[in-house]
Amino acid sequence: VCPFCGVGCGLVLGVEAGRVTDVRPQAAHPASRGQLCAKGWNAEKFLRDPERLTTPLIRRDGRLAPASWEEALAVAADGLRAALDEAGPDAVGVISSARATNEDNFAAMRFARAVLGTNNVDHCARVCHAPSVAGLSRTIGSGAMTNSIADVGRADLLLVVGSDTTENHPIIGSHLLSARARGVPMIVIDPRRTRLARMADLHLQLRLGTDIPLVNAMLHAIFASGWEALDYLAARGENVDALRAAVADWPPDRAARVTDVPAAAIVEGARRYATTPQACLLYGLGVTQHVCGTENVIAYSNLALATGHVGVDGAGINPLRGQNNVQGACDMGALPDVLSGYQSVQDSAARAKFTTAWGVELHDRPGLTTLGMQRAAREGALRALVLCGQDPVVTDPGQREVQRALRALDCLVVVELFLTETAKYADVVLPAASFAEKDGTFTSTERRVQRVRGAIEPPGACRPDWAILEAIATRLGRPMGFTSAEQIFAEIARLTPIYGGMTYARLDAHFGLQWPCWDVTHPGTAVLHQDRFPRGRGRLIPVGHTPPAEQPDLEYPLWLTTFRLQHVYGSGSMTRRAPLLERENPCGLLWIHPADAAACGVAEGTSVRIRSRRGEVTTRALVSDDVPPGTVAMPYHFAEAPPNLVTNDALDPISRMPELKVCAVAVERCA
Amino acid sequence: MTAFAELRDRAAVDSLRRIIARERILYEVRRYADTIDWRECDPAEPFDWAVQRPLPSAKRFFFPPRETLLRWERDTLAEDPVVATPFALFGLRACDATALAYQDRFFARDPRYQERRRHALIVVVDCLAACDGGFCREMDAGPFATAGFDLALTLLADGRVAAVAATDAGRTVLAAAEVAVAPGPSALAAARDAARRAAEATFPPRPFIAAGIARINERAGARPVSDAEWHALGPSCLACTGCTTLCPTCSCFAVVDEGGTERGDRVRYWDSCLLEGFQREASGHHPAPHPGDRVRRFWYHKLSDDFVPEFGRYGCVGCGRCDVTCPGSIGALRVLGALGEQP
Repeated sequence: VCPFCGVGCGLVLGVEAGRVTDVRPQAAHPASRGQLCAKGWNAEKFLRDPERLTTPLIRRDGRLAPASWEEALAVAADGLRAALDEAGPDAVGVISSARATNEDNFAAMRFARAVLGTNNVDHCARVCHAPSVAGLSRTIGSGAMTNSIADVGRADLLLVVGSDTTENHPIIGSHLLSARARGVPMIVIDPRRTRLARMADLHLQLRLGTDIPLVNAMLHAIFASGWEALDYLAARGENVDALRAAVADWPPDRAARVTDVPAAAIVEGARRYATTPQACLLYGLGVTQHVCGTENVIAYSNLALATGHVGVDGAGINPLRGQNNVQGACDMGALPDVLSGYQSVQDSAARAKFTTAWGVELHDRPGLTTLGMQRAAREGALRALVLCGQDPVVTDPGQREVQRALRALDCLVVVELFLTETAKYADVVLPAASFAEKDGTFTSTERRVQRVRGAIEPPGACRPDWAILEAIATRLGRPMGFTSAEQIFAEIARLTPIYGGMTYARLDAHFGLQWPCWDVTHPGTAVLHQDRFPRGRGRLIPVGHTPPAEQPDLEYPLWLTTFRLQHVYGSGSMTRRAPLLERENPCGLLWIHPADAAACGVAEGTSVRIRSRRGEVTTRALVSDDVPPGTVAMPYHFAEAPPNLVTNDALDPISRMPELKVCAVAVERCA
Repeated sequence: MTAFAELRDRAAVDSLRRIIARERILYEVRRYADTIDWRECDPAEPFDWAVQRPLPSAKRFFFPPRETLLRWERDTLAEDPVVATPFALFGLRACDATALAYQDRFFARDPRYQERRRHALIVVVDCLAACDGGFCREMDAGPFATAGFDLALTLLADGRVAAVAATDAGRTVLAAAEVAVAPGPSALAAARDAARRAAEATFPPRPFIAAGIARINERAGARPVSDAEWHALGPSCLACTGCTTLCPTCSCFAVVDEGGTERGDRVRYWDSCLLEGFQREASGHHPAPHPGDRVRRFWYHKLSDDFVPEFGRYGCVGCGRCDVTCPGSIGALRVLGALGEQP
């Protein structure tokens, strides 16, 4: 399975003399159908990069130097023990990796909760889809993609919101493009003119951060015209009248003034989406990375429920997960408030089950999130942190604050493939095995749990994350007893009802299984909520407009948004080692509309400085009408020009998601 | 001189495989681990006559996806030698054999390719029916072997197998198997011709293929393809490199130095002309700036008459892999369909 985004494409690695030579697609794979994107085709390029970490490193005289596993594990264990002894279990935390396997994440979750005794465990879903989990939990009771990737091909209308699908999830983009080629109508809601927006029947190019007014006005039109699914709402919805009353305040012409989308287009989009029975809604980070991210998700959930599109074949509300195993990391309970399978730490029966299995009492108070741990570190409350496969210095908002947090720790243990910007702050760096070098499972965005199989031996002294955590646990006197990935998976299935019927043998027999899969005869679940929602009825929740935390003004007159490029993944620590992918990167990283470029005295390739209240960054301009006038955009991948020097870390109060998608900036020519 | 021989039945083919495997590594197409691909095979297992053509082509056996050309260490610089051992590709399909003959011309002066090629025995198994998405017949590349093979085998309706040796290597294998070889036209050749006609009859009529090719070549009576048409296809290209990776005749490579001043390797990787960076110049100027320009160039290279003098044929062999792997639904049949079905 491909190690990059959440689509979960099948791939086969060609191996010669112990080295992976190339990547080959799987024609029969249900999601990827013999296709891959450029990242997937280049998935093997980083494996033998000369900069790959192959031995543990420990900090000696202020510098990271090679060490043996014995020495390095001792440093890690001593650092954690010191923090535990001096300040208790709340002073330690674990940040797990949405790139690692379910087995690695389950081990990290158990390591935090049972070995360290803390619920301070999280992973990067915080900065992508925490609002989806928070929002959809409130409306339907489950935060995962409701339908399957193949449902895109069964839909009669596609609504794509805040997702540059062909660039970020290209093989789901492929399902969209082939539907489009068959003439299936497509509506795109996005402030940028993405590839899909250019191909769509209708592009609602809303102003940044105005999703809720737009959706409320769509609902206004739907209720006003009687396009809502009355029977469906009567049978499966609740709180309908409250929503109907709330959106009455948002006639389309009012929303048009707030969103910049013409009222007629709002009504047309509402009509087409509402009156097509099989209308599939897909959304991405353009919905979630806002100060009102959770409410944005609730708004789109209202839209999908009011029109009867959830729990229906070829439809659904579908958050596209960004990382190969972000779904799995959530499923495994690498989250501060839930054990695996979304069993709450506050649920005493769930805790009792895990206590029986692990022989330790578990805490009932939810722990700290990623950003919470960073804040606690800056304040001195968090002393030691284990960080697996994450590069928050590049990918999290407010880079200087992240660096300050990492420096404040007494002990930072980083498990990584490469010496990332974050790993440079570590006291001990432990070399990890990559997806090609270990067994395990990944869970794709469509809840498909798929096997990954080691194709080659790890280089040097690299080990899988779970084995590293087991070794530290042993040194702390609390071994977990894990000896193989398959053994861990058996424990996952035993303790996690939605994975209850899965075994490696069953996963091998198919291209994986989609959860929930309750028992060994259950075939898995392609479409969720066909009969009922996990919370019973689908709840419609009125939400009001929360403008972005920062508005353009005279000093910072432009909006800045962030996005991703197709040929880079995340912070680029893997993909930027593939020479042909690196060659694809443009020399300029600030997308600016021709009108704004003229106003700033900037041409294609001009060196520009982007300033906000938090910092500044320098790059070159790329003049393009992909962005509307008044809005500039930067991809977040590049350590040499990180937009997170200027982005806003204002948080969604519910999911603690930072508002990475909007801030106010000034752009000027460099002298 | 082509020579014909009769193998009594499929068991005789299996014994031929065992004879080949005495002196060569035997590669065949097999279904394994949810995929179909070439792999080293034990000749004791019977040949799989039903398996479809794999998505990966056979070009990697001669032109590897990653290949070290030179190594340096301090002040020494040495060519990385090709270490080739004799091998056989048993069961190559006609489309891929035709592609191999095409690449033989492209790499005629590439010693690394030729060294591997010299060690290969190519045994084609003729296709008795059109495969899904294949259009080799229209591209004059199948369903029966026409080029790029040492030995071709045809399973006849009565269970016999006709063997055609096109080279000395092919004849040597038949001799080693102690099969009687007859030169020139014979009853067996006639039986093979009948089987070929039956196989050709299974291809659905697709007049848009010839019509599309006529338009690309601006032939008399065909309307030239406009910039606007190519540019309309452009946004469907995600620059994934899938078509060029799987295409059995694509041969572009990038040369990259990996390592540092102390030591390192000069490596060549498969490249792709659909990538924006493939042709971008150091100044930033791009001769094919629009994705549609790059799509046009790709199909020009595959289907233009301009390359026929050099290669003896078109660069497309009709294997249909690009149609499977293209996430933008603009593989060969889709593009020719879009171009050829318009009035």
